[in-house]
Amino acid sequence: MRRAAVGLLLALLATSVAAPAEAHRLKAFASVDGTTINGSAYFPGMGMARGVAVEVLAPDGSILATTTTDDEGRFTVTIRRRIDHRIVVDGGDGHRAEYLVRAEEMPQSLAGLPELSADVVAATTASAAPSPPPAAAVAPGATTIGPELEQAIDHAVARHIGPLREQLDAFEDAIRFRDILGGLGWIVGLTGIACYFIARKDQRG
Amino acid sequence: MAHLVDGVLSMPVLAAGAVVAAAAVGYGLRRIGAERLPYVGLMSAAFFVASLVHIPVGPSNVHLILNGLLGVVLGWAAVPAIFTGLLLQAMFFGYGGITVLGVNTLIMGLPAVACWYLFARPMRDGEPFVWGAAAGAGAIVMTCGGVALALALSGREFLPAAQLVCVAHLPVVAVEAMLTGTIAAFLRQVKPEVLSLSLPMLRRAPADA
Repeated sequence: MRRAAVGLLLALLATSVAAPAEAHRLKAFASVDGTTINGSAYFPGMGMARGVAVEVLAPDGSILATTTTDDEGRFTVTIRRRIDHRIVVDGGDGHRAEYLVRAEEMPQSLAGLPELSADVVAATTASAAPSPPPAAAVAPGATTIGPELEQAIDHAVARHIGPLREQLDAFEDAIRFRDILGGLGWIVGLTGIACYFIARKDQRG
Repeated sequence: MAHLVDGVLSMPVLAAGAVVAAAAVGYGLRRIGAERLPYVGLMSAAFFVASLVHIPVGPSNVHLILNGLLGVVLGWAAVPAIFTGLLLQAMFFGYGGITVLGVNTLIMGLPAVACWYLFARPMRDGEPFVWGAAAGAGAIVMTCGGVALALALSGREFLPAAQLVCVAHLPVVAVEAMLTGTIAAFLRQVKPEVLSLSLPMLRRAPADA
């Protein structure tokens, strides 16, 4: 029995290491490119989540947009205001994932104040933006860079960095061998502790 | 799927799940004797690792649960074993979550216990492969029902959720039926006393033997 059980365990371990993926865990990722949010929903290591519902929420909880992922698990949402967008992906079967797109990533040409009603889009003058944090690095040259050039740079940077960020995000969630070993170690340890208590009870009784 | 995540269920469902699960884990712990403890640890480890074995199904994909096997071997002790596995899966893999731990324990633990009541005795006395397979398949079906029920109690529609979860888990049902049946047959042959360690209603006269 013991040999068989250990065999079973090793077989499971081998298969799990051969395909170190998470099944049921849904993940969402999104990045900003200009005035759109490009996002995706996926099961880490196991492919994209197709046709799942996507909700975009404002910080106050109101719904900004709803959509569903396409056949490649991707979705796009248009940004209207420069506020934090909380992306909630819901598979309907208990799968759920969230991703926060921060206002700092969005173009400063968008109106940000939550007090403004949703249809106040305008404010194309860059100077109207209340906070300039992401542009701070290029601040000295900012006066000479036109809004179009700035947009083009934003777009190019987003295009190059987007996949990298997505990869990084997925990497962070990958299950590694040490996680598996760590968990098994805990189980061995807990069993040992239980042994101790049972032995002590037996000694007394 | 089988592991519900944080933020899906409503507060009352989570709270009730936690309370009932605590009671079930406590009851299960009291049923663990010295001779059964190694099996509890071993089965808990198997459960912990089984969640990493994936079966791709269409757009989604699912993983083994093994709660039928845990049930027929451990009986009520399967509940603490599953609880431990779930806790570690939540911590190490990010499966499920801490607030839904109670509900998940019940969703996977109660089917295990049900399988024990239903199949442990016939498995010892009858054809082990058939009853083992029934336990493996039955536990998954019950777990899917539990998932759908938990979602329904949190204000979602029962039938669509149940359909979604059950259809996705059909391959798991098949795989676990084969696996549990094979292991049961093997245990009966090699180490039959394991299957008798925790038979339900042992004190009752063996009228059906």
